[in-house]
Amino acid sequence: MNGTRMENNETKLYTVIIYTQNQTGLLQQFTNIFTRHNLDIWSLFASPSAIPGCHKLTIETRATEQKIVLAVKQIEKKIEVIRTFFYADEDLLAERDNAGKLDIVDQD
Amino acid sequence: MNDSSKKITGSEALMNALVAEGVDTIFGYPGGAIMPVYDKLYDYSDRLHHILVRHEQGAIHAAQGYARAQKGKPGVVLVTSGPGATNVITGITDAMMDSTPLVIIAGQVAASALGTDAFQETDLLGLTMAITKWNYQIRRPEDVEWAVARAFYIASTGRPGPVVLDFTKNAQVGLTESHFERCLSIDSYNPNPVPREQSIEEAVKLINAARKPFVVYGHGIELSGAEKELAAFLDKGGIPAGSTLLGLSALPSDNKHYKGMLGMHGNVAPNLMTNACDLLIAVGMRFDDRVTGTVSTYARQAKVIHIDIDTAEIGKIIPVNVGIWGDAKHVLQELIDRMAPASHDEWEASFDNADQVEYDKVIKPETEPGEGYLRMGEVVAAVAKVSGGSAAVITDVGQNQMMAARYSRFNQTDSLITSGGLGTMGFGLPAAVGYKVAQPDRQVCLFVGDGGLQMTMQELGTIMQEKLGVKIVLMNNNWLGNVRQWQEMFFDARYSQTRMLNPDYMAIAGAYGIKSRIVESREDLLPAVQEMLSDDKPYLLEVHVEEEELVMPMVPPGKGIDEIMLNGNEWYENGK
Repeated sequence: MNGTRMENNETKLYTVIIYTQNQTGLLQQFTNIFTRHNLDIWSLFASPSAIPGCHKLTIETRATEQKIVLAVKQIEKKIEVIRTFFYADEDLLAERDNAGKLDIVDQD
Repeated sequence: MNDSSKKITGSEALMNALVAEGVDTIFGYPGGAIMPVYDKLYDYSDRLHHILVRHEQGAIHAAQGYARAQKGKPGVVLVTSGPGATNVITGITDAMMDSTPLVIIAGQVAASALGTDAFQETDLLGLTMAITKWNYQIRRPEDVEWAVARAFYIASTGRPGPVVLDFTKNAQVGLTESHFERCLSIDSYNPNPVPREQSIEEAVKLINAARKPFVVYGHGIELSGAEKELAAFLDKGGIPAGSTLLGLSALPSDNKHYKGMLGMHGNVAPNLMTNACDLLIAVGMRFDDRVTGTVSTYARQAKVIHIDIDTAEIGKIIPVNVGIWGDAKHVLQELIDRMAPASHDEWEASFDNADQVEYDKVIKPETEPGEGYLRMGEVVAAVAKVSGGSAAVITDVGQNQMMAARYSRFNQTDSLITSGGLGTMGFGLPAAVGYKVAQPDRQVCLFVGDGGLQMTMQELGTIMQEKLGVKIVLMNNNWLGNVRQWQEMFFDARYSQTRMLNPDYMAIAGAYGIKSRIVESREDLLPAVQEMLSDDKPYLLEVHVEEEELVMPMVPPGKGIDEIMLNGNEWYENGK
């Protein structure tokens, strides 16, 4: 966010991946943050991660870049949150496109 | 069996943990679901001084006043479940907004009864998730010491805040071994971020290149203990500065670089400087809307450096050129070490005219009116004059708060305690109780209106019981003054439900054994203030002030921070 004046109101479908320690009620804390920012949760998936004791939540939502940045920063403030990542599908695809990997479906 | 393996109850484990954390004072109110803890507290009365308030809201505001007088030492609140717990909700939110370290311990029904709508059961975890830094339900006695240690660590480190421990009754009475260890770190929590080298360097370049730099600082300076560093930074850079409401006592009022308070009822010069500077350096503040006015016109001409320990605040409201995630004390010292000495005398002096206009048109008529009814500003100024600026100033919320902020003078840090972010009427009296408990040797003056005093007036009983020398300055205008002001200015003077019929405050003070005096004339004001401050006993000074007074200057809602009204129909314009 540094050095930019974010005034882009374009919304995109974002995927937010949250790695956390296990703690009762954390999911409610995250949904509270999405509610405060008036962000609908399009999908939500919770599972253990590959790291013992570390859980993973994957949330999809449609948002402006400004809103998703603010929401993710507030998620990261939660004590049990280890790390949070987010990306827009189309940005990820564009990056892969630029890298020359056009056929991302049939990678295998 | 050695001592460490001796089984104790969860309640005793709580007492041990509190003592181990250095707690010596608890603000609370007993009730059914917390009785085992209160029973054990009886055995610890030589180490833990419990202040029995008259309402749980009083307990939490008192703990806030206590914590803010103690620079980082959390205030501790002990209440029962259900209504006891819900009565502290406002204070928890207030503490969250104003970054006040608190540990709130609430009783809860037994774990086996959770979710059954048992007597005085409430979902405290659910209720406080969004308004706490951390909350946790203790369901087993084995978890008590771990949870308490973690609570104190979280509440008092990084950006401080309130922590709630929801303590089930079975955990209070169940047995456990005692193995208390202080919490020193949490893997997923970084309260001491190391500022990025690149960000520091970029900031130094901007500071060295600036021709018209301006510092805006807030509560973070006091929370960080960065008062000396801030003064040194301003001295070395020759940089003028303005303070938010909560930062007011971080610099002495007579610091040569201090230009005044920012925001809606702030001083004219610092608000103008915000929109005239070429570099805005924000330290330990969060660009509250009462500070910025309309965001779209706020400091658009300036490059912005924002220093804060909470990375979520950086860029939240105002886009920045350089964001520095770090503790203000550490970051300021880094900048002092690397920046070039400079002076900006011409820039600093360029707003002297604005100061003069404000003095002539607002400050002098407010503090030295000479005739007419007494004004709130002259009451505050009289207290500042008699106390020599050394009193701790506690305020309630509303016109009394703005007048106290504008006309008090400070020569010690942590000396203005007020409800900033949440603006909680009723905060003042219990907060003054807490401050006086923490700083018994300081003169503690509360400025409060007739509306706010009646919200938590029952805490006069706490003052009586604890024999606390709180000085209460009631500025009585028989209105909910701030709302009345807005109704006059923005709602066509339609005074909907703001007129107050007041009780006999002298009789109320007398009922609590508190000395009191009414002031209605100007000649009587200074002698009355001198009498009030002549000893360390509680005192209620009721001053009948101008009923329809306006707090000025004012940046009206929806206006830019440099669009300033000097009175009800005159705007500041081009140095006039």
